[in-house]
Amino acid sequence: MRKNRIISQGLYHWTRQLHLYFGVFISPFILLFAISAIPLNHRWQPNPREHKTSVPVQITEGLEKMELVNSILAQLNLTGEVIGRGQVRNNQTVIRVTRPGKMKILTVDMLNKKAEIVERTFGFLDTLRYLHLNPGPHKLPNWFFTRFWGWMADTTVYVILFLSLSGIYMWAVIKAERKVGLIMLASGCLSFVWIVYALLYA
Amino acid sequence: MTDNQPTTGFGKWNRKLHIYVGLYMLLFVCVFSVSGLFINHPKWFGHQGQRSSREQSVRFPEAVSDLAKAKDLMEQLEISGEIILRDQQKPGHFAFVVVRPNQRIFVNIDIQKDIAEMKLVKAQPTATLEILHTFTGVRGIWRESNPKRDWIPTRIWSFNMDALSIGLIFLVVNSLYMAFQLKEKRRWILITFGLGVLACSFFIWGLACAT
Repeated sequence: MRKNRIISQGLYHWTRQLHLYFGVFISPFILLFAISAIPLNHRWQPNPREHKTSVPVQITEGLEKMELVNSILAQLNLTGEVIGRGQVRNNQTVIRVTRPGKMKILTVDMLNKKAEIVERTFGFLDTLRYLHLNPGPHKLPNWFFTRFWGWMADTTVYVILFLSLSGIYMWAVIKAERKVGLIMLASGCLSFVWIVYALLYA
Repeated sequence: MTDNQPTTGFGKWNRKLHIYVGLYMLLFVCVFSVSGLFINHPKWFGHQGQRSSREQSVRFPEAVSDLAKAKDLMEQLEISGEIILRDQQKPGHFAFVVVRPNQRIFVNIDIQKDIAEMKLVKAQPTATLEILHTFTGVRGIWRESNPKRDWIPTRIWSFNMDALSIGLIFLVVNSLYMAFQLKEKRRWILITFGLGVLACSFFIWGLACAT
């Protein structure tokens, strides 16, 4: 009996510590996702500042597709998440290089060997929005930091799931909160099931 | 078992609200978290939807707006969902898409023949979960020039998304308040919080200048 009690006290103590410190560490990331969800939900359009420049580039004969893209990016010393596979249409290829808060759109004129660069700088909310949407489902990330952000976003999910489970455990221990807690849990689940049923089947 | 917990006043209610709001939002939070994880890993599940099609005769409505026409046709076809209208229509045709998280119906009306051709794409459960995550009714990817939430369940779901965001912000603020009330642990909490803020700031501001 006493051994069981010691084990359960230890379990409660460690769950509480982990809930506290994991929660405190991950809280800025939760804020990032929660705040950026609002503009995404209402389709508030980004409002970037734009700056245009034009620079000469060397086009090596025989290079095509990603080799061409990499050669141009290396000359301009640009790194980031690259969108564009070096397909040439009307003697032009368009490459986008993105990172949180910034996007550069390169329109490379293959005949005149110059690149027009449109640099877009985004504000705080748009940067959060970018992070919320990336890496996303449409393409595999090709920049290390996008992959790194992807791992961080995954970690946020795992920690949220841990916080949920540990929160349930700690709530279940507090007898005084059991009744109201059950009512809140049941009403949350019911409202979720009700709206999802309406969306899928009604 | 419940050491360091306030028994009176603001601290007590703050803690109660943390428990109650957290429990109310539990299922919403878990679903949005897991679906977010699925969205970030498109290779985990294949998204081959089940496709089918059918034709049905309809009476093309005389309504003024495209939205009213689509609603009238949907009533005749006995389908419901969020309407996505196309800006450009083929001559002699009226086409729109009806979207739900678990299915898409591409409706194409031949106005002369009064025939509706419907192509139905049913989503798999994991895809449905992912669509729920992004089902705002006004998605940019749908390319509607004048997007509107025209279906009541979409409006309620979108309201829930806002409520969940605000609820999460509340939970974070209220849990940080509780954490900083623990005087003997304040130093370690500050260090942990500082590390979290630093890591998050690196992604928000640091990556703009990373090489």
